[in-house]
Amino acid sequence: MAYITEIEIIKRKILTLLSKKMFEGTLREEIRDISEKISPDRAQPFRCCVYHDREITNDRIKIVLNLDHKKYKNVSWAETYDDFFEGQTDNLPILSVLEEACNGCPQQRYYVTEACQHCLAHPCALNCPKDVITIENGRAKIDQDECIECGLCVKNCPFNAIIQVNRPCENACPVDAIQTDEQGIARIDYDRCILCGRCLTGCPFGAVVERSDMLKVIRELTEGKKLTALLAPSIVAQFSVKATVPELTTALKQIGFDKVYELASYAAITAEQEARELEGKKGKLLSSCCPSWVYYIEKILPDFRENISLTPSPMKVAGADKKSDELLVFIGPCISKKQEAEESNIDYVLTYEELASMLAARDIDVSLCEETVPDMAGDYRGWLFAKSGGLTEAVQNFLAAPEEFDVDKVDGIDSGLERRLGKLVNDVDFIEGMACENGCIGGPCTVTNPRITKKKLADFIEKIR
Amino acid sequence: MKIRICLGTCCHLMGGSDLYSYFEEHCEKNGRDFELETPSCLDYCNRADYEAPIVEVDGEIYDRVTVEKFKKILEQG
Repeated sequence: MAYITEIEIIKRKILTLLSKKMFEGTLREEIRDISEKISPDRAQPFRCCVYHDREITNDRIKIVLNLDHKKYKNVSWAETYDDFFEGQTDNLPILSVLEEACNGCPQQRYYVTEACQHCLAHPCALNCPKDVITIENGRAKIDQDECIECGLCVKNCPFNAIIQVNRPCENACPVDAIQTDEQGIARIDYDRCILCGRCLTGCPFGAVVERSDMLKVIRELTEGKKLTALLAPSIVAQFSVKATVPELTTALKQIGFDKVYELASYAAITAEQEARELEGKKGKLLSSCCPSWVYYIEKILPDFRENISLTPSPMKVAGADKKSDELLVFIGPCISKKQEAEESNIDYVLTYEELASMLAARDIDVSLCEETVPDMAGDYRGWLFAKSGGLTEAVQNFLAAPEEFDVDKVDGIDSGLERRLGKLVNDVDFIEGMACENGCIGGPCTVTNPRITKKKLADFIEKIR
Repeated sequence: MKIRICLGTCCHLMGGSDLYSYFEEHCEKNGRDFELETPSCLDYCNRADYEAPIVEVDGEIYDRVTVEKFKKILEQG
């Protein structure tokens, strides 16, 4: 995973400031000041001026409140906050493009770079089927209006001097769900979107935004409601490279959670059920616990729909076990769980980024907390779910005769998978599908580099095995 | 060279974990005389003139340390 950029830092600063004021009960009065704190007068603006930067921050805040920023453009902050507090919501999509922040990057284009040697042969122009490459002052030039983007010039240039430039969001999207409107602004095609979150981390202008339950959760916490935190297995090392789950349990109780459950205990139930299902079905089963993977099959390759396991994901198992007097808060690494929660009896979803912002806002250093045993401890086979290949290992552990089943995995959905999956399904009995590379520890809303998480997770599993 | 990367929650969230990851991957085994400490919160992020993530190198405090800035600090040292 790449190092974090200014985009993530700004997003996290906004979340931290919002949490801080929400916890302190001063958000209504101080929400208007947040954009100025993010872009103070002396700061170097990212866009034309700090006022533009602040406007975009204000739009982001409204999206976090789940309110339509366009509708609320000329509404006072007090009124906006009151609407949020009274439970008004514009039901924004989980992921959307903030038009004002979208750069409208040029779509797929071919450019001649400085590396052009003005050669005598100029095979670029010679092989162009539309004759749109001319040689000016010895340098090749592409007429962008006439270019049909066939790419032959790229293939034929002996210096690799012609490059293809794509929009970063389109490049990042594995399912071709990013389109462009007449103004050149990116749009998400929700009929194809699988909520993997690649565009969220892929846009270098931070124009893809997600809605959040964070402020609602803080409100419930401060009002003393009984909230239970469900910790996804990839949570190891997300809040400090040296903090333990028992230390995190204390931190969560300090900010007001009533109970803390390790989802790994429910994940073991999923693994066992999936093993029974595989034995009963005698093969050709696709795992069901990564919602983006399930959406991928349903939307992009529906022919394989009937192969998706009917076993509920660990989050769904937890939802089915919900007590009447508790609110369940799933804490995890991804966007798509926000969608799955709506079908799973789960009240709220927080990402690691959001929870870390809440802990930072309360000045809680997880590694300094005392250790408290979680109210429900996990099974090591459940913790395995956090990494690519782990789910398979857990399922195999529950099979009576694991050697009878051939298994394979999809470690991150890419644009070529559409062509490969048929053969994959044909060749094996069980496929573990994970939308993110490395599995959940590589999720779009993780805080810690998966290289570190992988190591810490292995140590942790070794310890409890 | 004594390096302390603050790994309090705020610094961790704002990129401290990347500095730790970078250090682990590139500095630990290259033979240079680095000594790494990962203290809990160094308590600078709450001061008005400092912004997370914080790194202390031989007693000197650096703030808003990106991986880019961190590389330069290590090279100069």
